[in-house]
Order: sequence, then structure tokens, then C-alpha cells
Amino acid sequence: MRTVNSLIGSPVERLEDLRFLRGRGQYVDDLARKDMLHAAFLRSSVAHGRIRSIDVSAARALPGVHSVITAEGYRQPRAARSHAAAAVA
Amino acid sequence: MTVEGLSNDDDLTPLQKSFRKHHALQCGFCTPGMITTAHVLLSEEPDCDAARVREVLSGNLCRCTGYISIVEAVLDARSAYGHKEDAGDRAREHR
Repeated sequence: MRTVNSLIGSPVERLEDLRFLRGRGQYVDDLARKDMLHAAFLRSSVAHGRIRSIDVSAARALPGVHSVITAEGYRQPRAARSHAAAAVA
Repeated sequence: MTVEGLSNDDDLTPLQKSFRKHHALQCGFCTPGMITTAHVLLSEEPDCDAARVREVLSGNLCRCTGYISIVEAVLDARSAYGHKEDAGDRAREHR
């Protein structure tokens, strides 16, 4: 007779259940770190739209806004950027 | 009442054990609401049937396990709340 792994086919109780069942689960929204910033993603309201320009001035002027990041400044793929840097050097 | 208030460090309560046994949670996000709601139901109606469990839990959304395992966990925990098992239980639960 073959030796059978006793775990296969058996219900296995999960270790993480103990904290979830006691209300001690931690989720991303529960995290708090020093100097932590929050990010919000604004997605296009138009499917297959073409972006002509993005005016971030109103967003940047809001109180507490640390940074507004768009594709501006990230246009070149990584390989093209390093090639350009090598050409300058 | 909170799930923390229903918990202790020593052991899981019968209802919590039943949730674990029946795999009635995965991410655990809905579990505090499920446990507190089920606890009140079982405290007041230890002889409730599956349809009643579903009705009472209908305001609690779970997006992981689905509800079958949760309903089974609650039904299985009834004995800890004074439920008197009778022969008709299984037939009613599976109708």
C-alpha cells in the first residue's frame, strides 16, 4: 500500500482565519506610516479617447496636494532614455 | 456590539470555529459583519432555518467565498446557542 500524504483530500484550517475572525485583520486602508501620502487615480471618462492635453493646475492648487503626476516627462521608453543619456555623455 | 467584543484571546467562540471549519471566509473583510449579525440571529432564534439565515444575512455582502459556506457555518453553530436538532432539520435546510 502506498503511503498517502494525510493533507491531501483533508480540510485544512487556515492560520489567517484566527485574526480575521477576531476582527484583527489589517487591510491596505488600515495602514498608517509616518509622512504617508495618499494617491488617487483619475482615469479617462472616455473610452478610446485621444488625450490632447491635461490641465492639472486646479488639482495642484488644492490644499494638501503633494504632486500631480501625468505621462508628461515619462514619454520616452526606458531604452530610448538610456540611449539618449549615453549620446550626451 | 463588535466582533472584537465577541472575541477573546484564549479560544475561538463556537460561531467563529464554525466559520473556520466551513471555510466561510477568505479575505475576512465581511467576516466581522457576518459574525455579529449571525450572533444576534442565533441568540434570538437558535432554531432558525437556512432561509431565515439567508434573509437576515442578506444585507451583508461577501465577494470571496459565496454564501453557501457562510449559511452552513451559521446553521452548524446553532447547537451552541441552544438549538434542538430534529429529524426535519436536514430536509428543511436542503429544500
